[in-house]
Amino acid sequence: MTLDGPAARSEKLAGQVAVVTGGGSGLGRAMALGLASAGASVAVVGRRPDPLHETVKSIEASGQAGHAISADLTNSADAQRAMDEAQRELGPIDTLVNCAGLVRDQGGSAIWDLSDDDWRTGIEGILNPAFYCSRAVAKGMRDRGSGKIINISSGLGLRGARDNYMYACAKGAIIQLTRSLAMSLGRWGVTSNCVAPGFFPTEATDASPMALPTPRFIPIGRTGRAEELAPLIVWLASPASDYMTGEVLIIDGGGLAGGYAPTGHRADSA
Amino acid sequence: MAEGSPAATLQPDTGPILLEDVAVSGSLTGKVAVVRSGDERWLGPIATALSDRGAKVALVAGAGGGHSANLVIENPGRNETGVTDSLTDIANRLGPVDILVNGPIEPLYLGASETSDEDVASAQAQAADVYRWSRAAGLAMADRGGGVIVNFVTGLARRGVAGASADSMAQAAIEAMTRSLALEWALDNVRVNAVGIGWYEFDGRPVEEQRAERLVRYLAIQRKGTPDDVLDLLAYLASDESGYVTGQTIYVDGGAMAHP
Repeated sequence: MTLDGPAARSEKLAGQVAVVTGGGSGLGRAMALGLASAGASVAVVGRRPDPLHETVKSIEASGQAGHAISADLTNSADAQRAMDEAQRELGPIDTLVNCAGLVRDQGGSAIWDLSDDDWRTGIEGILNPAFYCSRAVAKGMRDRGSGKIINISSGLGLRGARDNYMYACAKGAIIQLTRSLAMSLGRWGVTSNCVAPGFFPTEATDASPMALPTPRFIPIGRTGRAEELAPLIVWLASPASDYMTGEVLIIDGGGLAGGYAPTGHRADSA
Repeated sequence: MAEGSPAATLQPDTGPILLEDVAVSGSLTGKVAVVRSGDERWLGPIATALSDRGAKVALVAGAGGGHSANLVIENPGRNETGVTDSLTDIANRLGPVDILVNGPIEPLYLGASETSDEDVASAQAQAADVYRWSRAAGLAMADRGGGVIVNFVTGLARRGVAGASADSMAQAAIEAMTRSLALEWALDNVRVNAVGIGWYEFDGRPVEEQRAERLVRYLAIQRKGTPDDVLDLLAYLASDESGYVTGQTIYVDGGAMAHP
């Protein structure tokens, strides 16, 4: 058996259906295209229709079925409707990637300047979509005896940061959601894992007021590229990862292996 | 930061990702891999996983194992000379080493009262073997522009188990050196990661039979793992596709680490 070459990998998810929330842009788009190029049909869900349709065009260009669903996933009924629509259009959902979440308007304020509304919007904007969508697909996965729920957390789900409350708390909660889903659903063949990316510049981070790391603070000496998430997501969606559940996969150029300090000692001295 | 440093030139733009950006192959064609393991039952499965994906594999094994690979190095000295001589030999015959896999160490399940001084020394020596091979291979990789090291650890690196204290000591040492070597060589394009395994077995008993054990019933996925469960992850970490992952331990353990 030789697994050499793209042909072998493109069969990896043949016949599968994946849903990527936040799949219109940024990291979600990269994951949606990665899943499609590995053979899955992919529904993308988000607020803004235009980027979703752009992503679907690219999914279709890969030869797979794509479907765009415009929804506000912080609304429970809308989340349920989106998952129902994805299943109706493409078939039973094998993989759910919970990537939707507010990146804008997070962080940068002292705790005494945060209003109740800031707190609520920040937490709900990240955590609720993942919970609502997981709830909407979990029973179907249990009944079929297989399924993969992949949550997207962040390096900030594992570390604190100055003046960063909602993002860090909600991303930490995403990891705990992953573990509880794993403990609850494993006996039915349904797994749940979490990807914690380090700093990957996207149009959303370009517009964020958060203090963002510079390459000097990243051991590998560069920020991440969205497309680097594709092989990891494809693997997590494939049967090859069936024995992994409740795990957090950190892809961050070495940041969490060390401390948050300028670690590229030779780049510093250069 | 200095102009022209790798970091300055590698800042990506944030334009939309295109289909051609995400084409992935999982191929290890053209790579030279060295595989060694304290627990030699893993040598065959690891070597096969890498060679199936196109790598040339050198196995480092005890004498008379009857292993099949592109090259077998038998019983090298457990010291710096033994390791560097072996790596030179491998480089001369297969080409410079791109991938080093340090498989699981030999398990040592003994209560503290039964653990002898020799047992402690053996656990230490196995962790030191991982260090010595990683240091020699990693420095050579850094010199020639990059490479990958993947170490195996078990859940004992992070969770306590009564009757496995010496083993835990060695497992934690391997996980800790993984992080620090990753940081030391991050700018040299040498990545160091670990694969974490849980309760594994090689004979693949029927799941119903396994579930007679309480331990298995406690796992989220109610069966023990087999090498097949983890080898695809190993191949991912060994390939260029995991280029932004370093200093990490990733567990494939049926959910053991997610457990309270």
